Formats: sequence, C-alpha cells, structure tokens
Amino acid sequence: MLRSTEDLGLPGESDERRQEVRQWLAEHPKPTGRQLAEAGYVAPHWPRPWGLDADPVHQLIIDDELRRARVTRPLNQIAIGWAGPTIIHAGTRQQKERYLLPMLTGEEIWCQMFSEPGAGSDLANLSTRAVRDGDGWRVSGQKVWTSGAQYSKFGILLARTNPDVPKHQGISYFICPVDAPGVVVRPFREMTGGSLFTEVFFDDVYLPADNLVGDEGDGWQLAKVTLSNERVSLSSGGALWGGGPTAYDLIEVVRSRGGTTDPLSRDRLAQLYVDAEALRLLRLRAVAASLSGEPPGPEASVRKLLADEHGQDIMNLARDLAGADALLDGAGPLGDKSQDWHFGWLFAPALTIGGGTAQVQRNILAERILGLPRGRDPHEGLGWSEAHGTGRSA
Amino acid sequence: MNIMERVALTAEQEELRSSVRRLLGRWCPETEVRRLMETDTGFERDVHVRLAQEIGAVGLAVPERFGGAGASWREVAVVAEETGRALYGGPYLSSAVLSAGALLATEDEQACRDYLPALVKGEILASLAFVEPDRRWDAASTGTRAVWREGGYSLAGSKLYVIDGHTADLLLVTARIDDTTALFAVDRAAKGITTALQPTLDRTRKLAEIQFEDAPARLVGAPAHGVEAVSAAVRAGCAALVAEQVGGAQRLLEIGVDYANTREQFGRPIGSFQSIKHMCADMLAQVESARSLAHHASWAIAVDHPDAAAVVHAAKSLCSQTFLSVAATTIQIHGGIGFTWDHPAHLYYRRAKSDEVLFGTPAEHRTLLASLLGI
Repeated sequence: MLRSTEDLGLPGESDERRQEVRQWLAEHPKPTGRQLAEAGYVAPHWPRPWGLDADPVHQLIIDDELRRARVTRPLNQIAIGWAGPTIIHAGTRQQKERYLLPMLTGEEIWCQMFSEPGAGSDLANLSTRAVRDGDGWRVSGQKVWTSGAQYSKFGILLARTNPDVPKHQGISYFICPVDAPGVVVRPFREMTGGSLFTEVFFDDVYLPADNLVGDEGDGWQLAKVTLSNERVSLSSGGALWGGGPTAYDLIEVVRSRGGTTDPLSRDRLAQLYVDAEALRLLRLRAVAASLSGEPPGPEASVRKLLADEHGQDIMNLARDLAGADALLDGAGPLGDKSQDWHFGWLFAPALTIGGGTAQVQRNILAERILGLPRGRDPHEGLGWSEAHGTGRSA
Repeated sequence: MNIMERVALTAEQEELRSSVRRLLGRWCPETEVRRLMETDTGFERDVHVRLAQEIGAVGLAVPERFGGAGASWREVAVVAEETGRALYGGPYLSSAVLSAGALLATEDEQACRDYLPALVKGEILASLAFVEPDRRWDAASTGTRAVWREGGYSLAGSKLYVIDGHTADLLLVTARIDDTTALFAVDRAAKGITTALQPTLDRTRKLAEIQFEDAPARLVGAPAHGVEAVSAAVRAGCAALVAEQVGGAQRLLEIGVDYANTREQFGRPIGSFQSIKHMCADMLAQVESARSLAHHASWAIAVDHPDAAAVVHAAKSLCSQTFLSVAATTIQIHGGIGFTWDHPAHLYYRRAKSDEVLFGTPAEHRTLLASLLGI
C-alpha cells in the first residue's frame, strides 16, 4: 500500500516524445555520458543545443523513459544546477562553447567555491580578493565547505573585486580551474568521519579575463541565477537532502521485521509517515504547478525547512529503534545492517545547517512570503572595507 | 483525475470557494458568530437555506437523481474549508456531510429518495448519532438496541456528541438488531425521544445528548452494512473536518502576521524580532503541510481510493495538531490582547481543541494508521 511512484497523468505510450526517447535508446542501448549529452538528455530543460528546451511534462517523460531503461545520467550537480545556467544566462559564446558540453558529459566536474570561514550565512561578507593584474586577476583567500573539490576540474568562484562599495555590489563571478597554480585543496574530516568537504586556499592565483562570467560586480546576482525554465524532477524524499533512506524505507524495515511492540515507537513511526506524506504532497504540488505553468506557491519555500528536520527525525527514530545497540557503530533500526542509518545519523546535523540554516530559512519565509519586516544589517549602505574598519577614513 | 486535480483546486472549485466566502462574509461575520454562539440554536436557518439553495452547497456530493449537484466530496471540502475559516456554526458538517454521507453509503435507494431531496434543499436538517456513553468513536460500538415491535422497529438507548442533534428533523442512529449494528432513520419529533444540549467548550459547535425510549425507527439499508455505511460517513466527516481545520488555521496565520506587522514595541513592529518571525514561519510551514494532506484526504474519498482510510487518519492527525498549535501560537503573538474575550483568537482556539477531539484524537488516528501500515 505504500507506493513510491506517482501517477502523474503523464502522456502515455503513443506520445511522440516518449517514442522519440525509446527510439533513441534502441539505437544507443548502453549510452555513454557523451551520447546522452549530445542528444540533449542530460539537462533537457536547458535551451538547445545543450538541452531540448523541454517543458516540465517533456522532462518528466524523459526521466520516466530513462529510468525504465535503467540508464543513469552523468552526475554533475553544481555544474548542471548552478554553473551551467549562469554561463547560459551571462556567459560569452566562447565560455558556452568551452564549458557546457563537458559539464553534461560528466567529463568535467564542477564545485562551488562560495562559503568562507567568515562568510557562511552572511555569504555576501566574503573576503577572498581578486585584484586586477593586466587583463586578468590575482586571487587570494580561502574557501571552506567546498564539496567535491578533490575531484573537480573547475569551481565557481565568488571573489571580491571591489572592496569600496557595499558588500553585495563588489563581488564577481569567476571560473577557477582547480588545478591552477596557487590553488590548494585540503579535504577535512567532518563529523561522520568522512571527507566530503574541503578547504580551498588561493595563493595569488592568476585567472585570465576569459574566466570572468558577466561583468565585474555582477557576482551576487549571477550566484542566484536559475533558468526561467527550471528543472522539474521527482525526488524520492531521501532523508539526506533527497538521498539516502526515506521514512517509507524505515517503516518497511519495521514492518518486515514484524512491527514493534513499543507503542511509543509505533506512534513515532506513524507520525513520521504523516510528515513524509505531507512532504511528498508538497513536492507534488510544486511539480503540478510547474506542469501547468503556474508560478511556485508558498509550498515550494517551506519544503526545505520541513524536509531538513524530517530527515533528522528519520535518522533519530532509526537510531532509537536500534535499542541499546545504539551505543555501537553501525547501529541500524531493529538490527538492520545497512550502513546508511549509521552514516545518516551522523550526517543529520548538517541538514539544518547546509544550503541555508533553518534559522535563515525561517527568516526568508517570514520576510519574503509573509511580508514581515526585514532585519536591519548594520553594514547596510557601508562599503565593505569601511564596514570592516580597513578602509580609508572619510 | 490528473495530478492537478489531486493537489490543487480547479477553476470551478475556486469559484465555489469565492461564492461561499462571500456568502458567509455577508451573512455570518464575526459579530453574528458571537451572537449566535450564545443562543441554543447556534445558527440562522435561512443562512443554511442560502447555502443550500443559492450555492447548492448541501447537495454537492449527492447524485443528481436525489436532487444534488452530482459533484464530489472534494467540492464539499472546499465549502467546509470556508466554513472553518468563518467559524460558521450552522449544520453543514452534520447535514451535508455526515447525514448525506451515511444515507448514500447505505445504498438504500428508497431512503435516499425519501430524505435526500429535502435535505439538499435545506428544508430538513439531519444529524448522525453514533457515539455512546462509552465515548468511543467507533461505528460498531453500540449498546442502543432495536427491537421489532408492532410492525416497526423501536429504539432504546442513548447517544452523545450528536452534532446539531438538537435542531435536527431527521436523526440517523446506529442500533443493534441482535448482534448486528444497523442504521436507522428516526423522526426527532416522534415519541420517546429526549434531546438535551450539551454544554460545549466550543460554543460554535452544538452537540446534543439524545435518549431513545421505545422510539419508532425505520431501518435504512441492510443491517449487515450498517457499520461500513457509518464508517464511510465518518471518513467523509473527517475529510470535511480537516478542511475546516485548514480554513481556520489559514485565517489565524493571516491574523497573526497582520498583528506582527502592525503592533509596535521598542520602536518597531514586533514582526521584526526574529522570535516572532520564526513562529510565523513555522505556522506557515504547518499550514501548508496540513493543506496538502487535507486536499489529499478529500481527493482520496472522492475517488474511493483503496488507501483512503489511511490518508484520512494521517490528515486528521496532522490537521488537528496544526490547527491547535497555530491557534496557541496566534494567541502568543498577540500577547495580552490575544487573551481577551473580544479578540477572535480564543474562539478559534476553542474550535481547534474541539475539532482535535471530534472523531478521535491525533494519537488515536495514528494508532489506527499504524495498524494499516503493518507496524
């Protein structure tokens, strides 16, 4: 009775777009990343020639057909979600020709060099400097929480090109090769014991003029660019930002072991199911709005807030269901051996921190959706240097 | 039904919503809510008739052959959400949802032909009576007995928490014939029936206690289907109730945010303080979650989905928690003024508490849900 696929009422077998994908798959039975990219299937929502200008229905049809054929597309989240759309929006023809296709084929992986030790929630406060050097720039500073830099070819780098104007205005958007001289990537160990994240140090790194995207000072706006034709997809609702076990998986573990005799645990599981259903339906509402060309409603904004805490609830309950064995490494609910639960519990605190803390999310909901007054930033209107007491006196 | 109909309102449903909101705004503003809640009746008959006849709201889920609009429980939920928003105290839940739902679920064509047309027009009011002194929300649990006497059935027993029971013309009553719980239609004006209004926490929801002593009754539907028919009616009742809860919670969110933006202390609107902002953001998240589940519940009932019972349990649990939590938070945001009689917050707070208990608490629904999930 727990279903994991939605009946979206997508066009059926005879639909031309479906037939087109099947035809292509028949001609390319085990497609490579390059083949998928050249066919426009890696990011179909992107404009041609890199994508298919696919509207939401078309995107979901492609997703459906590829899933049925068990074809996985190259994973390159930062590239496809962030760097690519920005280059499409504001890049030069040369930048588009150089960077877009290798993103889609998965040959060049990208990372996001945004956060710094002094600029987390207040990202605009970043201090990594890019100073003019002839036609190019010299970059010095440090980034942190850069996931995947160890295996990335390029990074989207936000750096300060003008310290004399207010903080948001003096930031520029660069493409930084991770192997450029002066770039040092240092993985660090996070709470889980793993090293998904890195620090990246920039010691006088030279970036040529071609590596600036858009104009100097456009960085903050460009960092927020998403395509007007957004990607629509169905997330499975995994606890860890869409990945990993779902509440339904936990319930299935319990169910397949004959249920639990503890009424409190049973109640918590039922509550978890209720929350999972509410989230699933919120996602469905967002997809439905996309499919009918409607603007996203408030349900889109509340989702991250709810999903992050829901992910923590899943992992906390899973650990509690391990009983006293929760004392041990690798504990899973009712003795389940999957390492996902152990890793997930240790990763869970990150959910309400990364990608925007839960506190900032609430501020955004309150201010942008409910129209409550914005908080006053004491640095507002001041030049960045001035605000930091390092500028010239008036 | 495609995805849009599952999760969002159609254009027609939006129009229906607007019509009901306009009608209730005109005929049942807060002043009327306050006036009527102090009366025994609790509502103006002609407002119910307006809903029934100007909008056809009472017969939305009733097939055309019985005088209804032949729409669905989804449309009923749209109306219910507006009644919840307005704290409407009239017999919509009792007549249009529980009673119409019970009659239709018995599949007794004759009884439907006899009662539904007048019900749909608002000419008669009806209430479902199934809760016994053991206070269980279980359709099968009944001590009320029906015996065959002088060519008809006669009921003996008592019922509690009969919504709008004191103003109903027709009562639909569960009673045991031997070991089988069946459904009966009873004319409340007939002999052997004593009705007493129960003193409710929520004065906008009238509940009656009804005693039956050798009261004449007519069997509706086959005795073996009585429990299923009443269960179906209560499921539809829950789907409407969760819609009411979302309507009330949404109204409270608006009131709370409006106050946070207007009330100034320490030289600025209190909504500029992060703690207030966060309370409002949490209310928004809760209301949107509740709305998602409430829509899903009325959709599932409307399409007779095999998982409808589980969906309704989930919705009743979450929407009850949300409405009550949002009511409490709204009072908190208002500070002292939220604690006054004159401010509407407490009226919603009482309604939220009452709705939380009606048809089973969140914990009771989660227990039933857990069984259905096999855990």
